[in-house]
Amino acid sequence: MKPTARWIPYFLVAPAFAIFSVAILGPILATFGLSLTNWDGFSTPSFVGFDNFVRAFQDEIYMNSYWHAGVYIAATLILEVLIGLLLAGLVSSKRNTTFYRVAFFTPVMLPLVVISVLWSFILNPDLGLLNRFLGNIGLESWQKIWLGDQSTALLSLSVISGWIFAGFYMAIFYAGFQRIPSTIIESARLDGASEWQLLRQIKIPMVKNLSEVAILLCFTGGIQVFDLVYVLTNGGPYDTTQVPTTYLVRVVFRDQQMGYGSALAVILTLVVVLVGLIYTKVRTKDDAVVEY
Amino acid sequence: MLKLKKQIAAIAIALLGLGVVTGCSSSDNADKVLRIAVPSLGDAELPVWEAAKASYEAAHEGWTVELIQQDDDLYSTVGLPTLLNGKNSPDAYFEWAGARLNQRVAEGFAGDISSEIESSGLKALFNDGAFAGYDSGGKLSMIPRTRDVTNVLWYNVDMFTKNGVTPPKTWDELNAACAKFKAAKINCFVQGNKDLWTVGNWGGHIISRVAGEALYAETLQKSKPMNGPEFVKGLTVLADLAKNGYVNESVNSIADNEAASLFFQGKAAFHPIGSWLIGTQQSQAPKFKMDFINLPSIAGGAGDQNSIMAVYTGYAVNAKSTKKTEVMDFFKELYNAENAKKIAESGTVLLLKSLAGGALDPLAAKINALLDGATVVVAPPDTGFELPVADALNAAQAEAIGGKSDPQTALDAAQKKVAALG
Repeated sequence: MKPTARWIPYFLVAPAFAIFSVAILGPILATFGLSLTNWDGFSTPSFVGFDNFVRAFQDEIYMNSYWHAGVYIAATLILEVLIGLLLAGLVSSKRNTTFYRVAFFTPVMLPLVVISVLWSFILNPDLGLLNRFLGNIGLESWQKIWLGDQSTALLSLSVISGWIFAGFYMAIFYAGFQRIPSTIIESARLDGASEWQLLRQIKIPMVKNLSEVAILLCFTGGIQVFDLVYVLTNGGPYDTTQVPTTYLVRVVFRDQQMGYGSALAVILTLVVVLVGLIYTKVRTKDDAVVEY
Repeated sequence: MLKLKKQIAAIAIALLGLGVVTGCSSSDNADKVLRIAVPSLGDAELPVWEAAKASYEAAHEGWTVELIQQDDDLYSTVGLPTLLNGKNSPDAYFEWAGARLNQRVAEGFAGDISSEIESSGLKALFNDGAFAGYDSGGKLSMIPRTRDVTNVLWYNVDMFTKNGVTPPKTWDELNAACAKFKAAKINCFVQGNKDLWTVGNWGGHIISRVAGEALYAETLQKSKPMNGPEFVKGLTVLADLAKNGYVNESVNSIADNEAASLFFQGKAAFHPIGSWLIGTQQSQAPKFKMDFINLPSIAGGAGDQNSIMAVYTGYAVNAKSTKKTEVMDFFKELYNAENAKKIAESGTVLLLKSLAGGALDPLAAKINALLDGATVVVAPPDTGFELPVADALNAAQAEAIGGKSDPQTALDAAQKKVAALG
């Protein structure tokens, strides 16, 4: 059906475009514009071309922050997605698992700041529960300054993240497992498949699409991680847990370098978009996946 | 159609008239609002401000005082500039003297208040010499509040007595005292440097003593490189304390308030921090016995070995405000003898004549005596100088005290960061 007047399609699209322009396009363009300036947020910005971008690529803390985010994402893929998958397999293989499902999911419902404070008590090097427990069982040599030692700080953050979000991925995979027709499961059981074989050879292949979504969620969540790091380590010690978002906040809100901070934000946006595109490109549609 | 147009015109004129009237009246009201921006005043001091506000409003009919309080961290970073650049910017605001005040003057948000403070009679309330350090470019630009010592070595009196240690006066004596505590399996120092400024202040003071105040200031003003031999020597003095096992291993992973708690729990002999620990001790551990010494003298240091590290705080009057007289009147109310006494009781000693000879907390009086007797005052890196430069030095000090890098390497990295700032 053709519109009666040429302007009608534009007219119909206009409200959505206006909202998109104000809420998304405008801020993106403004941030890009500011990234080309030297601006403290209040005085008149001065145009500096691509100097801020050159500085960003020479900024070791900023460059290293991507490495830290990468390590964090890699660790959380195991501690969140893989553990979540195994937990889902476990709770779906038994009956009456409501208590466990609620227990594993509870950390997801708590505010991250509350969790951060809770874990800061557990990991406190002088008075924390973990070091005291290790001391009480005669493992003094295992005691660490968990969040203050550069070799354990990022790992500790990843473990805490895993403790929180494994339940979230468990819920996703559990929902997927519940959708698998019971006839398939029953047939496998009649053929003598163990619970482990069921999980590995039937359940996991049948929720492959969910795994891909989980990996994407884990990546986007990992690159955006902020509050957990900010409260527990504030990027320390020695910037070894500095991630792009915490560094961005420091540059913009503490150092008041809005122009430079905008350049960092533009780069971060490009990185996320680029990785998203690559992920979409390499993600192959497997026709062998059973649709159910 | 013509009638409709006339009706629309009449409504428009009426609305315009109403707008002018209400606009005038609201602008008239707005003109009689005195806005004062401050970081969190705390439970003890807030009632005094509220009382001063009530008295001022009673004495100045039609005027209201609006106190704009913000979280300390927010205020000291992006909060205050946002307020100053807003539509209803504050007429007066809390600020730190030094680089921050100079920046406000350069931005046009602070200026010379010499004549207003004199003519209003507010100046007469202050001690002689109270205005030193509150100028920018030689012109008085702030109403003084307090001078806070930001780095002294607080010590646990009972622990010293029990171990037969006397407060050290020299760095060698300090090392000897620490060795004695270490032998008794007591941590010599506890510090919480998660946010980097605490060791930044402590180490900054040590560096200024070793390198000299002039070189310290020039370096933080980017005129001299941060990785010069004198700075390395200064940082080595700090790093050696940690190297000898005199500083808590958790130094870079706990916050300043956690370190204070550990000190109050008797987990260390010394806690290097500012004069505000008095207020913390009064509220958290009133029975805990503590005293302080200034940083012990360092043999061979190029700086004044009696220098103190301090910040001067006060209230800048917005140069764009038309209510400077009212600001002076409000502070005359806030700083009257009765209010000053109440503020002093909350742990903040204003630089006022009415408090001279009064019965102060003994530790607060001792801090005041230290300030009054100081020949050289060193500014802390984070409030006296540009933040990114201070951050670079503070990060280097954290690395050195945490044993991540040797002082030279840490300062080389700091210099690289400073050079990148341009």
